[in-house]
Amino acid sequence: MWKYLFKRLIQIVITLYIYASIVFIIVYMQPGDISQIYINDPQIPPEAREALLERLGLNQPVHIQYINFMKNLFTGNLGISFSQYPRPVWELIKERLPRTVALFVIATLLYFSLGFYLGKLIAWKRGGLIDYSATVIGVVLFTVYTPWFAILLLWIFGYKLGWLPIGKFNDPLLWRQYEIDQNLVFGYIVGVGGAALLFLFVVFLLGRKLYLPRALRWTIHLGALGLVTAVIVYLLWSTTIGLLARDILYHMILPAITVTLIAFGGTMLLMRDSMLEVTREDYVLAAKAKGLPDKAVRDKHAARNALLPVVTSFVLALAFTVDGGIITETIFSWPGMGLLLLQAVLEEDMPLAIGALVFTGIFALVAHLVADILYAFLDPRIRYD
Amino acid sequence: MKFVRFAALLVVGLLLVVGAHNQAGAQGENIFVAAIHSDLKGVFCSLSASTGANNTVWNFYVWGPSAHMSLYGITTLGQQPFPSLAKDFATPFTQEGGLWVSTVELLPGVKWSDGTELTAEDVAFTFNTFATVLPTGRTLSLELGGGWANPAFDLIDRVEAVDTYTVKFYLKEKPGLAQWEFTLLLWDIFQKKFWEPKFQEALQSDDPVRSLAAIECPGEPSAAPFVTKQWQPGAFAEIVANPNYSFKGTIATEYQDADGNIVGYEEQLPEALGGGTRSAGTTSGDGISVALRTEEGPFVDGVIYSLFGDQSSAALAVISGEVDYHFNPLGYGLATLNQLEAAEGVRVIKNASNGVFYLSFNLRKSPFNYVEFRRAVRCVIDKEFVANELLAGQVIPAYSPVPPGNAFWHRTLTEEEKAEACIGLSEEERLARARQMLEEAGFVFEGGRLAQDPEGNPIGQLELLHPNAAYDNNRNIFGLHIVDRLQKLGIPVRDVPAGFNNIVTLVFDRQDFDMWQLGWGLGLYPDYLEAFFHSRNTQPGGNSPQGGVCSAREDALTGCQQEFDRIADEFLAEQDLQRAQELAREMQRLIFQWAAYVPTHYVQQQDAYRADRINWQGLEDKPILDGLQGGAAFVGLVVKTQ
Repeated sequence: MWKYLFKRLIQIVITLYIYASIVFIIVYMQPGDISQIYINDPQIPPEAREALLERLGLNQPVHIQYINFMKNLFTGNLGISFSQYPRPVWELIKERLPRTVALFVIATLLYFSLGFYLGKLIAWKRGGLIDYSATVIGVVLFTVYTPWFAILLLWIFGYKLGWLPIGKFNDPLLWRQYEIDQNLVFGYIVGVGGAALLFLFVVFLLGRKLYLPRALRWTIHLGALGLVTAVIVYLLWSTTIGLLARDILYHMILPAITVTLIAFGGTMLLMRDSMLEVTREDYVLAAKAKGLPDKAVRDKHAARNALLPVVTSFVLALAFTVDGGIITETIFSWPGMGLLLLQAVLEEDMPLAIGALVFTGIFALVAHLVADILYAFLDPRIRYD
Repeated sequence: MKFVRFAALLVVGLLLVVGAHNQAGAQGENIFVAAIHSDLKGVFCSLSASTGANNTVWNFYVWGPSAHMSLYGITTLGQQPFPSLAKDFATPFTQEGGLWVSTVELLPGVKWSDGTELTAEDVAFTFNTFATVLPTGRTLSLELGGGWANPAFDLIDRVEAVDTYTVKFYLKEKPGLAQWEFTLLLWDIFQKKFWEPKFQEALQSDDPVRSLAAIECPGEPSAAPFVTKQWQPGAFAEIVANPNYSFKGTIATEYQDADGNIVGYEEQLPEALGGGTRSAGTTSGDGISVALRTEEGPFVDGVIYSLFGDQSSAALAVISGEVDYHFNPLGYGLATLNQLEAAEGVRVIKNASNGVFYLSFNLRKSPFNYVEFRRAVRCVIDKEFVANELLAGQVIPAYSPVPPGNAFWHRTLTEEEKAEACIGLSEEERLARARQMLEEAGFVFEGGRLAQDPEGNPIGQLELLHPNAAYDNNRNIFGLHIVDRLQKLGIPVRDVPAGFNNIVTLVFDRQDFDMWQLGWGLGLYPDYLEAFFHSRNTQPGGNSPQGGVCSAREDALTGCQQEFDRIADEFLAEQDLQRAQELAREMQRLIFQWAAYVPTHYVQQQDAYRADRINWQGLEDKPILDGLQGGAAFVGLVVKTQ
């Protein structure tokens, strides 16, 4: 296993080098550069454009720029943003990442849970009304024109019903009173949420490994869930940061629901297909023949074995949460990594565009490794030498 | 997966609980909430905000009403320079030992937000600092780039504080209006006490520009109506009313003649500034009446610039009352505009934007080096049809690079010129007239297709580079119309829709093109006419990629370029406003005559706001160049009623 891990790490470094080179070439091949922004303004003399090109190193030959970029990349320096001069690219990524992670991890959890549950259900009752209606709804939402659907939800819940805010991730009139850095609050949400999930995961894992009686296991599970909920509610309602975190969570409801509704169909159909394969297996027939309850056959024998592709998809989706979603972030005024990347490309901010893409690439490569390791964990037939 | 289900349940439960307990915003203060569409650039400081590529219109919206004032200001309707921090107009330039000298007296009693007085030391410090020549050989002004870049600082030898309220400018050359009244006297004044140590430290560093651009300065001492308070990146920026704003309560009155022309301006200063009156132009007499009278604010406790990623959601926020005002320089789509105009309590006002969109030609190549060809192209373009029918009145047909909203400098076409431009003709008449122009000039048509120029050179496939629909639909539609009409005329042309960077690279940097369409955002003083058409700006990277006002062939025959260059140079050096106006209009006449540019349209500036909560003191009913967001209402005059 260690040998395999070492080999994979070497592969990751090589792949990252190739990927970063390709990203550099693609971004570099775009016509023009950021100094062309000056051409919009006849008041700015050509000398100022020359000064900008010198300052940003854009007057250097491309191979020098490439070598500098690679040197910086492998020493952990993604450079200085051109469009947000002189802020380092890392600083901008650190600023945008927590809010993207907070929204998209929650949305990913929601849509995978919904998709997994419905996929399992409709595969088991294939051909029935539930199967047809869930499939149609899932496919329609999966293929719906996202900006239109997001605006529609915003119009219904934000404007017509007035239940939820119209975009943004906070209420400036509330936040202006406290002058607390929003990233501190996002960090709080991600930190507390991450700790809660880790705690629950450990409790669930222990519950499984200790082979406790079912009733006791359920009691522990529910107790853990209740404890986590109580702690979180206390934190949210007893501190100023909790107050601001509530504000963010309140603003998160509509974008999270939108992403969930749009994306659950993919997971549902993946799970459905995987389940349909598994239900044809002999061991499922044997389980039924033994007289096991239908639910036990479905959940313990079929669904668990159908999990593999869904878990892969889940892990990769989690990795790509750092990439954000341009449409969701735009419509709901939730400027995260997706919009950062889009703006960087549009404004010819090469270090920022390359930095954001490389950062996402690193997450994707690591996620592939995690997915491979999870395979071995989930399916004892898989072993890595 | 059971764990994931439990985790999801926890998340759903929390979101529901939080949703049921949503908080309301703070009450009690009179806060003006404005929607913006792009986050601030750079770090949170006025200096960084205008440095290099950070210099965006969104930064301007936030920093415009806060931090800095200048020696002169611009009157709201008349658009003329008028003393602001200066007590009166600067003295005329006189020569002293080879330098040109002018003296400016400051208004006593102007305070910074920290309570200290604004003095001649602040003014001298500002100009001397921006004029500092760095080791690169360029001034700090040019090195900072963006909004700070201006060659006028090359003229400065030194600026001296003679006493507390007197500043003397020593310039190497006698400046024109463009460099003096419309640049240096409008320059932001920085507080010496706050900025001098920072500038000194930066100028001694390896990279002064980077050091300066990295300085964060929330709460920077401000002489302006507002002081910056905080920026939450990706969410909002906040400015608060300057408690020591010296000009609060100033009554400004603009006067008009019987024809509605703005002819005079008068200011009644508040007690804090001595309570005197100062004026310019005609403020009384037969037929003179008040065009606008406003009281300087601010009348709100603060302004929040709330970031909305999408225009539709920002418009919904205005309609729902979440937002008081929407900064929207791109204008609204027709559906959104209709929705806003139909909403109760919302008003949309439309003003001329200070920018122009145009078609131009590569004057170095045939057939574009023939003015008859360019005039024929101009003739077939039906701007009224495109603007009113295809674009449903969302844009205004253009005939001069200087927009009519900039009324003092704009020149309207004569009747002969209107006929020359084929205004009012039908499609068939335009095509017939254009063909006649070409044939009379010696162009040869074969089988309905333009085949040869007057010298017998064959005419190959031509291209029009124009912005694609994703970049700008208005220009895309104009581009398609132009190509359609030219093809009907028999000119072998095809349209090449492209993004901004592609067009700029081909046209401005490589000068490898036939025809192109783009647009300019313009300043108040029309020195851009020199930038666009003077022969000194025709090199790659210059502002005149088409090659001047006429082709080299035409210049050799008529001296058209030399004539234009002479007028443009005279205009740049001119110090008399009336003479400068004559020269600017003469340049516009020549530009029309030689048809190097075919202006296509101007866009409207549309301001949407809550009319039930905001009172602009009558400004909303007046034509204002660039609209409320152009600065008139936000530099002090922010009025909100509760």
